[in-house]
Amino acid sequence: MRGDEDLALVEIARREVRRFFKYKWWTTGIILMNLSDMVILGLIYNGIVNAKYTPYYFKFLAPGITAMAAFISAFSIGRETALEIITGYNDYLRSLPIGDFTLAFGKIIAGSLRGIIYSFPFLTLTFIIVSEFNFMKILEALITIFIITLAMSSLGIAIAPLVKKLSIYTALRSLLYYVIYFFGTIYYPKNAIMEVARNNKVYFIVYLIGEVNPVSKGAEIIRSILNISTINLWDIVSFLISSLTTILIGSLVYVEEIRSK
Amino acid sequence: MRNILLIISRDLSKLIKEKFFLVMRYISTLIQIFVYGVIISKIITFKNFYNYYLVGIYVILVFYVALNAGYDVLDEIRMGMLEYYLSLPISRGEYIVAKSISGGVLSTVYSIPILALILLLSNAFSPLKIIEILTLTFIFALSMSGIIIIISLQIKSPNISDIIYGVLVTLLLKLSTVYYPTAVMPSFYKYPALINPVSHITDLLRYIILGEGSYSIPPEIAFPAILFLAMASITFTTIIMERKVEGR
Repeated sequence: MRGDEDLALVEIARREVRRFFKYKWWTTGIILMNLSDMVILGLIYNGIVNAKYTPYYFKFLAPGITAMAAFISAFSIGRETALEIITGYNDYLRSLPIGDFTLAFGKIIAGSLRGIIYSFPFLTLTFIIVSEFNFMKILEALITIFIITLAMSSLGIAIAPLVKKLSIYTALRSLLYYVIYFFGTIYYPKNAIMEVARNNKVYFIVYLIGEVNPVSKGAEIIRSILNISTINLWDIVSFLISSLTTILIGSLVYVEEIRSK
Repeated sequence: MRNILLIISRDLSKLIKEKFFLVMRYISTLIQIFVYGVIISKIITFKNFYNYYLVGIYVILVFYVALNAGYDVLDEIRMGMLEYYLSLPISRGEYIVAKSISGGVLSTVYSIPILALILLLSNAFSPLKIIEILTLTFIFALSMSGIIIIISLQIKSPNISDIIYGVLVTLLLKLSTVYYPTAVMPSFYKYPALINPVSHITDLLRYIILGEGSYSIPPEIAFPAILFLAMASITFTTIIMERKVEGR
């Protein structure tokens, strides 16, 4: 029985990953957006960012964009999950001899694989930018991306059943994008956020959300792997805790919601 | 004229009905103003970068709403709404002109609260400036909606028009003076930015809001360029619509 569930999980993941390749137009658009952030915004800001915060902004931004790319593609699984629920296709999936948690984890793993596939070229580009070609470092970065994408696809499928209209899902998604992008260290270093927070206490919220934002934490870890900045043990622990919590809550919310429909 | 006004009022009421979308978009813009803007300004050495950036954020908002309005035409064509309009006493020419103007009106109306906030944050609040900015916003947004309508009418494949839309948005925003002045750009980015209409409107608004020395493109170049784009956009949209849909 356990073997059947494992096979079902693999089949769900395989189906979702294959579906990802059908969205080549969407993917091209997103690649352009992320690439332009990296090579246009990164390169131009590189000349005007105070070296006190980061000596080479282009190098600082590249891992952030890689983590962001992993997030966007992993999170995209949520849109299809929302469509499945809105159109009732989800009822068909639930009528199959597959457990609800198998369905949830199949989707989470598929989202993660999408994230890894999509972000790999960005990761390669990041390694080229910082001139690092070390197999172990690439592996460490890939493990970090794997954890980010697991957390973000869980978040994607958790939000999907909560909305009744695709337009609401899209609006909610764009708001969440902004929170993930700007409440953390994708675009600016932690010491800059702290400095702003010292002048205005409200900005401690940005700092605190950044501390539990898996994408921001993941970007910091990739930066440390590439010797762009340093992290401490707490950064790794908080990354693991926040990611595992997101995965757990995400899968539970998804299963509870589809069961209640 | 009555038909054009009817289409514009229908689009306006459609926008007002999408309350959730409106609120989300405003919150996203506020995050850019109060979170990204404040923190990125801290690390940028450029003097008064925050005020410089605020004008850019306003243009981005207008740009997106105008493009969405233009894109709405593509959606209506995809959903078969054009056939429905065919059955009404509205010509396709009127429909397209109304849709372009509607893009301008929606963007202008939608951007008013953010404009007020930006003027307050920049200490540049003045009724005259508001009138000038809203007039320019309307002209620019009308052009952008028109451009998207032209693309939508030229390219039948939704996939290809989606990608062109994506490329256009990305390049027009990133290769412009929305985020940075041309003085800090490498030369290979500088030239596209100088001929980019998004740079023209951004720098013209910077001139009005922040005054001398805040722009890369002088107002005497930016203003005629925006007027020219608006006229070209309306003319081409009408000609293409007549040829494509009316079969003339």
